[in-house]
Amino acid sequence: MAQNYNINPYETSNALLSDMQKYEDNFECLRTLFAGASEPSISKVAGMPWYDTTDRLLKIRNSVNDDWLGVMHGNTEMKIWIFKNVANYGWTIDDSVADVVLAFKGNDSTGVTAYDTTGGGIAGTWTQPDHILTEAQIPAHTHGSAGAHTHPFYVSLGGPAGVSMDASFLVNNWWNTYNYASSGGAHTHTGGGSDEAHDHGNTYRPYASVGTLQFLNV
Amino acid sequence: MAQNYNIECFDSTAGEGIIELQLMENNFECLRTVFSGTTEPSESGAGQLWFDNGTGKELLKIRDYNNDWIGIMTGDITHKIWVYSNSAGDGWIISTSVTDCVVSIKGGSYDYNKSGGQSGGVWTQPLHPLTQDEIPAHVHDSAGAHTHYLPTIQPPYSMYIWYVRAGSFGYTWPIGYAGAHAHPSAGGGLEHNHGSSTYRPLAAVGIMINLNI
Repeated sequence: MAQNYNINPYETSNALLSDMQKYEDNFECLRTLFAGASEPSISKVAGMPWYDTTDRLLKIRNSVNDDWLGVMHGNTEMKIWIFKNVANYGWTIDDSVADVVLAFKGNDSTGVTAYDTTGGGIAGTWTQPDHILTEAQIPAHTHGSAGAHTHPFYVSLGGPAGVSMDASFLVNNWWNTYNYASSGGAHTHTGGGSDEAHDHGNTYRPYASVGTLQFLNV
Repeated sequence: MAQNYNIECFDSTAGEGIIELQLMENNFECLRTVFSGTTEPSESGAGQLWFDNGTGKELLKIRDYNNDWIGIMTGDITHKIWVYSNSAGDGWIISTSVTDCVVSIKGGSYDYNKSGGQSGGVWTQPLHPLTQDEIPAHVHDSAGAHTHYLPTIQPPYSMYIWYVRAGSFGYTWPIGYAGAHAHPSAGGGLEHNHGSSTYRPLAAVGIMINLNI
């Protein structure tokens, strides 16, 4: 790695040997992309490369020559998502991960949700969590006719006083209770629900390939 | 493509000008072609580039601090990636053809089982009719006082209710019931979910790829 680039290595007044040495130095700078722990001290121009050995990142001077842009690099472990069905030259498809959405990881230590895990793994499920409806979450509804059915009934004795008594009263009072009957009227009842909203909890996460959000350390 | 780079292209004490100029020419060609070759250059140092054009490669690489080759990401207008930003940096263009969806990886047996670069899935969750067992246990309110009518005609003799009151003997018959009451619960209170594992949220379907180093 070298940064001792000489922008003007040749002058007619220079000694040839001196110029030749500068050429060699320049070659080494170009070969190693001005590699160094700090940016090259020579005047910088748009498009000039610099391999920053501190950040371990190739950088290139931006178009207005006021900053360095990071050049994306990677290896077989750094997998990114591409909106395409085939791999370009230089890329390989990893088909071991399929049929999932992407998610940002949560806090490893909490474990509250499925995404609170280590990046680079699969977490979550496609099946939403079960949820028991409460009575208030049932939509308002009526029940259909219960059909013919019986109800116990009271009898009313005739006469001016209109004294009422039920069958058990009659039994308890020794009177003859045979031949009483029940009614069989069909009818409906009012609904019990209130149309309230319900959800399926906030811990549910769709099945996902969990990764981390990363950026170039320019 | 050239890899015949000579680091010591100049020797002030023992060098020969014509030979050294040739070495410099060779070096220029190596730099111009980024050390292109099917195998790595014989000499390399941190920051050095190498365009690996071996079979199935065609990948620009750079020598890292640890003297390993790492790939430099390349792409074209068909090579779209997701970025956590609202604007495109220099050299990038926002593709507005894909909006309002999550990101997924193709595969499986359902809506994501299609070619990458398309959309799959829907936002509407599949319908799920509740079964009676999935209704929570509940009661229905009283319908209020109401009457179940019995026949208004005098019933047959067999339905008479005989009684004795105040020393006299008589009979009557049922005339109805007007009591308010509730009906019993029908539900079983079982759990339910919203569809099987075939549901997928609407997503832009893509693939997982990495550099082929």
